[in-house]
Amino acid sequence: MPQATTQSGFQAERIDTSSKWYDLFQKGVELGTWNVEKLFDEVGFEKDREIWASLEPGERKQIRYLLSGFLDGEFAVGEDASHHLQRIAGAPCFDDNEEMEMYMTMFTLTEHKHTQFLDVYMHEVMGEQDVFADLNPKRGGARIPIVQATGLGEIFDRQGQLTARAAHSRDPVDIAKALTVYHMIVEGLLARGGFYSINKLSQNAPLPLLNHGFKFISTDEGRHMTHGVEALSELIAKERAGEPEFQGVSQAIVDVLYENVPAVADFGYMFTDAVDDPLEINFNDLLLRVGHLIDGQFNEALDLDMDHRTVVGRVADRHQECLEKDIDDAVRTYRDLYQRKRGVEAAADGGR
Amino acid sequence: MADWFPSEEWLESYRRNLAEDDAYAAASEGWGVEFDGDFCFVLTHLPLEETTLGDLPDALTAELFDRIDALSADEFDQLRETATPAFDERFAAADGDDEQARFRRALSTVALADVPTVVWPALETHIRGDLESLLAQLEEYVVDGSTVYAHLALEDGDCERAELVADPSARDPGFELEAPYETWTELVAGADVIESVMSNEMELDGDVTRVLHYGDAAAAMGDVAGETDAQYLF
Repeated sequence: MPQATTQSGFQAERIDTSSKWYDLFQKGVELGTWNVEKLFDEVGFEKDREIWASLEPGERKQIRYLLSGFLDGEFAVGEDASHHLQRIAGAPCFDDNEEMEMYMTMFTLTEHKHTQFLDVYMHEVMGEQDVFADLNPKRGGARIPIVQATGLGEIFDRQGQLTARAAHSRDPVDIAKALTVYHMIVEGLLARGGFYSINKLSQNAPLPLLNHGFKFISTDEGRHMTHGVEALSELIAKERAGEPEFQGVSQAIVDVLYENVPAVADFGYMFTDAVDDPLEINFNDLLLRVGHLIDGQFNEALDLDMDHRTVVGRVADRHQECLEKDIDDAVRTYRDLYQRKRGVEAAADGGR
Repeated sequence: MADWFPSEEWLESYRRNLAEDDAYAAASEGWGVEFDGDFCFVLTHLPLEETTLGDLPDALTAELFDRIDALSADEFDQLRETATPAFDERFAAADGDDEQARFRRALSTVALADVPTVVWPALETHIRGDLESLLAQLEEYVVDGSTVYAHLALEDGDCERAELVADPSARDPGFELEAPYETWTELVAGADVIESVMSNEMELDGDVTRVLHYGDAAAAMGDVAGETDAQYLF
């Protein structure tokens, strides 16, 4: 039977063209297929290299730390989208939603493009970056030392665990946990907090190619967020309708928020106060921005009853840990550790 | 005087309650030590243009209207004759045959924002008690037509001082909490201050990481506001 008519008037036999996921898929086709290499050709690296060269060492460090968080983050979401989210989209709890599975192909493509953009950009503009990619190729190498040193890497590990478990069990509560850490926290809080920071630093370091790329990335992530909210809302609606296997979905979402929200402190601190914030991103403004996002996503968009005091307490505790940690020393430790691992590998291979 | 909100009197009650609150004292130990922990509460969008004397609670205005009703014919004529042109306009527009009833109706239509230009000395002698005090506070402390600033001196678990500020530019406290009047009334009625800030209903300016670490103190400040008796002016 022909499905409903789309805005452009098309109908289909198997695909529901009136589905919101079909709409997201189509938007992804139209807007998400920006060509990274073409962008490099059109905007070019020259201006960014010139501005990069004019920056003070502390300013460069700040941008490098911020982009390092993004690079490891994009790699992690790309990997988990490829391996796990596609299977989650086909779970029975989503009622064989063919359109959601279609959208996930577009979703995964864009995540990998973000990695492509960041990896090439950092290498071409900021010079040779030792991102230790050779140590564990399956997950994009060992994490960059600053990401590991602040504890930010923990949330990417947790995302990997929760998405893998959900892909395996396809249980609605497991899926709710996986989608929460992936869409609502890593994409919804960390990435959007990062976009806010890119915007702010551009006032003092106007890197045109970087800004151009991030405009595309943030538009893509907007669609990803819409997908995440819609998918979680569907699970919550089924829970509220009393379907037995969905019971516990709302509590799981809130629990995952409480467990992982401290990563906001790790991420924000590492490229602001930890490096004395020479480009004036302002950790305070960033925290408030993320606080508003938390309220908007969890209490408003998902209509949950999340406790702000718990969130604030957990972020404060992690921030205190950040303050007590010698970040530079921790970075050196990870760098040394990774180099030692390379040494072992080199010996096993008979040296390089 | 009753604890009208907002007023100097309510603020003093709040200060006293805060200073006596054990939860606040424990949670705010060290607050303001070696940094400026003072807060400025900024109440914007006070509905002074939208609210008339007739809209105020009866408990505030009943005495004034009773006093006018009790005037002899001569006393009333004297009061009428000295009225400002701004009041005369309102009086002319008021319906009815009874002069004193028209006078009351005209007076009821005066917006609080217009009180300083409409009210005249002879009428002021009949405005007494809480209403007199509150109108004087509005005249002295309202900035830019609809905003009031309250400064709280907070240090190491204590609130030593709380006062309305006529010239906010002369102060530079470490922290500022700003919201429309209506949002403040929700807080005074028991809403959660942390939630109000996170949901962007209240705007916090200052070292947010310090507030994070004193989250329980911030919450206690909100809780004490909710526990402080209040009668709302608007």
